Amino acid sequence: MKRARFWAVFLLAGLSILITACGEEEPIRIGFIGGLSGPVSDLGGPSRNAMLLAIEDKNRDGGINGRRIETLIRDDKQDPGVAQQQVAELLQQNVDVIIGPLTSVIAMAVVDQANAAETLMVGVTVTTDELSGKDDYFIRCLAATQTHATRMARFLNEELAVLKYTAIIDSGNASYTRSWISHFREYMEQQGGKQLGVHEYHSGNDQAMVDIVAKVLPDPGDITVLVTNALDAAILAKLLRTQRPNIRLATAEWAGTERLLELGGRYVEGAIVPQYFDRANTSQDYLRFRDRYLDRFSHSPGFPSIIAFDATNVVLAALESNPDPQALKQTILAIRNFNGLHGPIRIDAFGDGIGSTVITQIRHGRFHVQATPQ
Amino acid sequence: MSNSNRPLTLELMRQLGLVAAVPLVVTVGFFIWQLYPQLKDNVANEQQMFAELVAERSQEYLETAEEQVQFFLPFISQLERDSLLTHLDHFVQTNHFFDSVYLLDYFGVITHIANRDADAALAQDLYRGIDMSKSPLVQSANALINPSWSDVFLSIVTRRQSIAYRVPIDEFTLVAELAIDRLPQLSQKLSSQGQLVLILDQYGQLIAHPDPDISQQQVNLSNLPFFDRYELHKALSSEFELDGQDYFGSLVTMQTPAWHVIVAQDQEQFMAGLYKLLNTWLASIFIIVVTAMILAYRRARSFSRRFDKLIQRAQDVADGEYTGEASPANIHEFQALSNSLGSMAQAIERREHILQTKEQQLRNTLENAPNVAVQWYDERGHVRYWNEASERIFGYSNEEAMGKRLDKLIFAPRPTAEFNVHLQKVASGSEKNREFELPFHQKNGKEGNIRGALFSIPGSDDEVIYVCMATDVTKQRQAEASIRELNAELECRVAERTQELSRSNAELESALKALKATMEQLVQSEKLAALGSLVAGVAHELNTPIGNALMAASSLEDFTERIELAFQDGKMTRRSLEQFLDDARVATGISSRNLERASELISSFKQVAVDQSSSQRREFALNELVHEILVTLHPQTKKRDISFKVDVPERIVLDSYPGPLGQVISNLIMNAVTHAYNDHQHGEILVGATLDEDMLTIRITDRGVGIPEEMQSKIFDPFYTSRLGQGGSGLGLHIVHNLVTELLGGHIEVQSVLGDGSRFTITLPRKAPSQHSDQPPEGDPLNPENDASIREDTYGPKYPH
Repeated sequence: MKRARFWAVFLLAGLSILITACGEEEPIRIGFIGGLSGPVSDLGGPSRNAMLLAIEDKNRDGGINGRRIETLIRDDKQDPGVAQQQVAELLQQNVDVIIGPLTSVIAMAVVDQANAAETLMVGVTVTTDELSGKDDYFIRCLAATQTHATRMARFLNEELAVLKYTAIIDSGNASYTRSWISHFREYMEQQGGKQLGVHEYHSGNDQAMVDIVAKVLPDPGDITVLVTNALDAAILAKLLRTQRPNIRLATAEWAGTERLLELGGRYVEGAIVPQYFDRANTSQDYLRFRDRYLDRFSHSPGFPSIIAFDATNVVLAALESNPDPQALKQTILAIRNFNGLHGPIRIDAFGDGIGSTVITQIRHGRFHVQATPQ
Repeated sequence: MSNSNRPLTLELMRQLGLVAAVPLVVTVGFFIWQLYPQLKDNVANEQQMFAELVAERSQEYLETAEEQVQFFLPFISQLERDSLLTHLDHFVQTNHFFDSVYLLDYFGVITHIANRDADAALAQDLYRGIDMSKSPLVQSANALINPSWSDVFLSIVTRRQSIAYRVPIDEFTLVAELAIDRLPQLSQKLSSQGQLVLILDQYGQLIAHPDPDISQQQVNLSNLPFFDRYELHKALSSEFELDGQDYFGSLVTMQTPAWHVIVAQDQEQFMAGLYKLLNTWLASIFIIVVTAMILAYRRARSFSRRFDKLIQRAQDVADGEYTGEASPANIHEFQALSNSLGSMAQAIERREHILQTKEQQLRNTLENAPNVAVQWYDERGHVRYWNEASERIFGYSNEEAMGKRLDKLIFAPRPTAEFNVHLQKVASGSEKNREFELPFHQKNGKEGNIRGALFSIPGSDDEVIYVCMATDVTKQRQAEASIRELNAELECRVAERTQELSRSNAELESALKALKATMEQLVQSEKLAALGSLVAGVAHELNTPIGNALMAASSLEDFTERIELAFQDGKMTRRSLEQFLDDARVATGISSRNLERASELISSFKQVAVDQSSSQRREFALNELVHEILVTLHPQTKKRDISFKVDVPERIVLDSYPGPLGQVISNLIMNAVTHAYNDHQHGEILVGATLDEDMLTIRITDRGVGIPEEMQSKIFDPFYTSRLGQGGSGLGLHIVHNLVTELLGGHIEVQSVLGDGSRFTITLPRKAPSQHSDQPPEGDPLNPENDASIREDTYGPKYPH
């Protein structure tokens, strides 16, 4: 009897080791796609960092119902071809959800892959109208371009009496930039305004920038609108202002990062910059987030960080309420109201954010809020 | 349990296998516990050395880059625009490090720029004039004082993550940008032999990874465990996770800039060597265990042959063959076992003999017990043993009884059934033994009773034997039957007597009722007599003063008539008038004194009457009460030669019932007056009182004849009197006793010596207990407090005059 017990204990010990080895639950896999290198890396790095911060927090708190969260990060280099390849790879690795991409052009390139795989894609700074009002596997926390472009046009028209304008847009992110300028134009024309010229260049083509500036300079109208990334906006501003110091400048939301302030210097002073949220907001949630971000990454979080953090938390909150990744889309569309760093995030029935625009002006190297959302 | 034993061969194999395996397993454990960390330390040391090397190489790389700038500096000091631009351009195109070089003016604006990849003119157009004053490149504090390396930043010129070497020249700053995607090449070159080389900037941001793409992604690794316990310029080693892979790596920090170099090894790879070692170990464990088992098998076979011989010997002993021979063996333990078997056989033989003797003794005891019939039965009730006493009691011989059932021998069907029930109870184990008493008949038909007990004992093999031990109780039962008859007769007689008794009891009860009626009548007549006596006493007492007053008044009338006549006749003289006035003064004096006396008497009577007729509670002085009583009693005592001595302090004030207390005192005084002294004898009665805290003691003492001892216990009983038929009712002291104990809340006792007087001692609280509201039945003579008629007569009847 005693011997039998000895062997039983021996056997049980072996078995229990096996069971614990197999017992660990399958982790939740979250993919990330975004431009981590190249000209839009000022969106990519901060977005990826913020997502990591949200997930690291959650894992430290024990994951989702005990399941750890694993991240797979891919760099699309702001190149649609690379992005498609990377998304295919992520889908092959059976990710449960993809955070990203960050720009509209990339989003348009990869959204079909997500729909085909029925894997949810949560856009960060993607606002193109081409994805609005569609029952697809793409959702986002921001409102579509139309909201922001129209709001900007209205502000310029009502507050600064702008009627005639010129625009420089980056055809490298055409699905965003063209859509933006067309909504802007639509509003202006309703008010009797006039578009004096829209000049396209492809980001990276330096010569084209110089050429365009030469075209704009003779008659820039009441204002020149730069629908480009922050880096290009800084260079364009310099090119314009060194030759015509009094030219009035405005940008789209895309350029509204800290890089614009750092690289634009004196040339972007006075420029009107729309933002996705109120930079003056000092809510406790935001301040806590900012301190922790600064502590972890040694630089301040920009707007992409905030949007990516919110987007990640929307996904995590939905998974918390229903841990089945298959039902993630339905879960998010059923909840529809989430907490964000700058107040509530609302999502409509098609998975588009219902948000608004905050207009700022650059003064003394900082963004100053001119008009809060209406 | 008994089936789980194994052959010796298997057991020895298992144990030897275990003996061989345990030290090896312990060794492996020791290795994991002790040597594994050491091995890890070795790897860590190697990695750290390697990391130092990489750091040095990187430092050298940057220093070489710095040197190139330093070397170039004299050429740009002249600061002439055209030639300067040419110099810058030349510098950018010829050096291996920098992609872009430019000059910033005092305001942080680019004044001259040369770019490796761009057309010189276009670069000027695009970047000259760019305001870098808000850029971290210029904002960091020491940028404009000493040559220094910048942090990693996104270059506006190259649009890539870059670092810059900044050299201040007068009011200008020369900035040479180096895209960090050159560093990954370094890292790639160094990342050989499975070692991963990473370079991080001072904030933990990854700037060099063998994969140049990752290097550009601004990955921040400040969450790696190194940085939790980071100390400047100290090498650290740790396990960490990167991109879902586990690594073991070491970190060192460079001097300037304070970049970190991590050299890491894939955990799996790191562990592979270890696993190889472990596998070798496991294989050797396996081989050794198998070898041990084969050896054990051979050894066990030879052992088991010896054991077989010993087993055979033991079997012989079991079969009763005690005289076997010990087989010689060359192993001491086997020899010892064989010898022990021999001595065991002898011992068993000896004990068997002793057992036989004991059995014989026991059997003889059973056989020779004269009056106890002992039988053994099997479970179906067949006789297995029948002792001599059974033969005697039941009349069947041993031979006749053996193997038969009892219904064939001594029991009628009903006792047989009962006996079987007992047998089953014992057989089922629900009861250890059963006692019974059953009728039986002998072989010759004579009937009788046996009383016995049934229990079980183990028989040989698995069989159980049931033992019945019985004695013949026939005679006992006959004696009991006759006793029962006698008892029945006795009960009859008792019933008759009881009837008679209850009859006489009824008669007694009716006599008692008649007695009670008589007693009530007696009480009624006593009341009337007492009233008469009181009225007579009062009338008598008032008679003297009122008579005196009347006499004085009538004398005065006489004097007045006489003086009136003299006045009418004119014969009134001065002398006669004076005489009249004197007489009148004497007469009115007499009458007023006597009327005063009468009035005093009446008020005393009244006070006593009022107090006695109401149980009014109030505060009063005991002293005054006693005096009032003595005045009241004066008419009844004045003819007797009795003096009263009162020793009651004036300060004693009671909160009690003055009426009942007065009655108590006067009853006791009158009791003494009446009983203690003869009519003409001189007597003395003392009334004393003391107050001790709240308890009052009143003593009424006489020096009279005393009370005989046998009467002392009865004097408080109702209707006890020594003067029955002479006017005493026997209620006075009883009333005293009731008032003291019930109304006044105290107690009373008597001490008396025959011929030397008596003393009644009353002890009661200064404050009488509060009265209960429940009313006693009207006219109860034993409870007088609410009954005016009794109160008025109390001292009357007992003390007639």
